Amino acid sequence: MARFSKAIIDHFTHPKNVGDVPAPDASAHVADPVCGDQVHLSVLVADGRIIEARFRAHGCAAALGTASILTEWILGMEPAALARLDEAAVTGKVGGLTPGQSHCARLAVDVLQALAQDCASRAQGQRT
Amino acid sequence: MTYPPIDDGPVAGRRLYFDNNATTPLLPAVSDAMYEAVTTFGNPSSAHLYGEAAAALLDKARVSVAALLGCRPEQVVFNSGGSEGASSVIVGTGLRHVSEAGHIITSAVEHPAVLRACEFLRELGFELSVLPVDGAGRVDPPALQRALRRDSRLVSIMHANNETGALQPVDALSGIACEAGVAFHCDAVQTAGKEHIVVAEGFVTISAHKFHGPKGVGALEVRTEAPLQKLVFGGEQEHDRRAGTENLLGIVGLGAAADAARARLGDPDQQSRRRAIGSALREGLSSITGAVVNSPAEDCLPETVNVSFQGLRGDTIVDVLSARGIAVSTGSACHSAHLEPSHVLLAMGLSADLARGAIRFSCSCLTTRSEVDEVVAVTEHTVRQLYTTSPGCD
Repeated sequence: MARFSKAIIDHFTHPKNVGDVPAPDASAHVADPVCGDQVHLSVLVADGRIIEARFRAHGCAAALGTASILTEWILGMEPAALARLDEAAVTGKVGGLTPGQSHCARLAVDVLQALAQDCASRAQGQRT
Repeated sequence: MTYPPIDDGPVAGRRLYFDNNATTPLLPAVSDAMYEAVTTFGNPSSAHLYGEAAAALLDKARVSVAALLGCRPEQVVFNSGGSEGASSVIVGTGLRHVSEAGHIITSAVEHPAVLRACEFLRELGFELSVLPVDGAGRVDPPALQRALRRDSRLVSIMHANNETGALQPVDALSGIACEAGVAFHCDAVQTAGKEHIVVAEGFVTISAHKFHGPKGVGALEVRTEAPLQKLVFGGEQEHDRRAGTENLLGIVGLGAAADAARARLGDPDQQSRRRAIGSALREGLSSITGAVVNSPAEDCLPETVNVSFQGLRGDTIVDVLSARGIAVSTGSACHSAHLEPSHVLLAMGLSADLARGAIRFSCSCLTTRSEVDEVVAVTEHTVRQLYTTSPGCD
């Protein structure tokens, strides 16, 4: 297969939703201890669904592209649904990853789960 | 400096090649010579008219390569390229002295073809001295003087570094080795066709595809009385120094590339042009935010600019530039999730992070000023975009 899917190339050459959501409803930052790749996601939630997502990332081009794709993919999702997305789903969404890029799917799953957890924690905090 | 406006995405048809230290395209004169020779199928060793036609092409190419190197034709041994040239000298030296072993000297910034061959000799029982380099990537000649021993068998030091373009003082280094009676090998793969190779005495390795010739062919200049241990046995080709039927088409291409290179070396306009192109590239890249130029400002191939962008990863920049139609390379080997910083840049004292951020831009005689301007503009845009994307950047 080609080194990068068309979607990943499109997103790392034209990254979407770069930056930080001001006053986010949830955010998460994860890092891969082996390769050093980092992804930061922040979101706004309204009526139980994600209405805005932004990212920052440091790492390989596939990690940047994947993070950018995530910010479009998760719009409209319920925060709890993020924790159910697995590596296979991420890999499919980004148009495929080579074995050397599989850490990008792991990193994406980690940041989505952390985001879901942060959403849940903040919601819990508001209720108590 | 004002750069032309750019499209920030993949540009249809944009193909800018700035990885000429990896390999170069064939010059038309080279491919023409090879096409002309393609029907000459005789074996140069055959004693009939087919063999004579092939041998004539072989002789012509040998004269061309000797003229480029400034040696006698019989001092040229055709081979498969740089790695074979280095191995034949280094491993050959090891085999000649395997019973008593001894001492080998090289530098910390050599190409893996040299370093790994030297490490192989260490496994055979030789002692290996790896000379350090200064911040410009150069070996200090007195350090070689101090490292030499009575049982030193070989000194192998490159002419120009493939990652940074830094030129070693090989005339002085070879002179020191020669005076001590120790064989000297110079890996001149990056300088053949670009610089005059001044080695007092010794072996010089060159590779055709680095100066617009074909891949898989090169030559070893044997400018020394030191014997060259044969590693490929069989016939008596190459004055009984390398057996095997010659790669005639490749050698014809090498000869044509050598003729073209010699013409460039002797043309003051071409020499000014290469310096001007190199200066524009260096100046343009160094003006980009976060840039740290790793190639030395002096005594360096103008065609090579190695630059790091602080806080960014070289492999990422290379991939984004590639998607935008620009071919450059990192100064390090990137194996999936495991990033190995360049041994050359680490030896020069760079931090691992800065070394991981290194990118090598390398031009050839075909590179134009407008290509340089476009590459600088797209690189500037790419670097700015990556900084904006990085965590902690406002």
